[in-house]
Amino acid sequence: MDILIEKKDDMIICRVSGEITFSTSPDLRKKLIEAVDQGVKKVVINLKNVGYIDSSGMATLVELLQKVKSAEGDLKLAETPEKIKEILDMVRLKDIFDFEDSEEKAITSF
Amino acid sequence: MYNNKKLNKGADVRLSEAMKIPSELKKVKEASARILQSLLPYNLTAYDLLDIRLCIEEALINAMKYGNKLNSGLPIEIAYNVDNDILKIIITDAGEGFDYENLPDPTLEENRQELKGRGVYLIRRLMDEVCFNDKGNQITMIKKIKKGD
Repeated sequence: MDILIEKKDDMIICRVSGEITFSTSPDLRKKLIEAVDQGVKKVVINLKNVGYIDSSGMATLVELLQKVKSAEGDLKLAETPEKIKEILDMVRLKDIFDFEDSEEKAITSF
Repeated sequence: MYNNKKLNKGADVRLSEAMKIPSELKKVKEASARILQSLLPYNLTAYDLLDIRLCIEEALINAMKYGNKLNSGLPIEIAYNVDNDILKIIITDAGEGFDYENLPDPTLEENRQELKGRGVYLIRRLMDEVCFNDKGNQITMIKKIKKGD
């Protein structure tokens, strides 16, 4: 998994590519939790290039959402591929996340 | 509460492939890739392969983490076969088993923020037949394979 992070004031845009799994998600978790601890309140995770997610990856996204919300911020998922959305929907995670079709829309949606 | 999801169709499938791996998470992807390799002649779609991979890896991770407590000295036994368009996979750990009939439903509103409990649910959703042995340390997964073009 590759993670590219762009920081803009109190927002970070995190572009993830590859697989979000039990072995890769700790890195994503660490980077984003650090950012939130440093004052970031708006988090965009761009999943456009993510081809696979397992239940550990899902748990990481849920944990990050909780972390950001507890810091009175918000987290948006952008450009989520249909297959990934289908899996997230299967466990009703589509009900707790905000999905945006584009990164631009996610950025302006806060 | 769940019941074992059963189809009679898969009950008689014999298993011809078997492997034993240590309870090391780094071995998960390699093991699932080997099983998926056996599906190559079926030209499955990438989406179908992804669903099957997810089930295999969730079952293996559960077996390693919750069954064998990540004790690398304890093996995971994997048996699988594709026959008559039916994929059957049996994964057995050396642990004490678990109460598979009383797992919380992760889709209920009160459970959606939980950080655990989605793996078995996903397996049950994506496979055609799923059952556990009485002890709860062995999962059998069956999927009817639709041949691609």
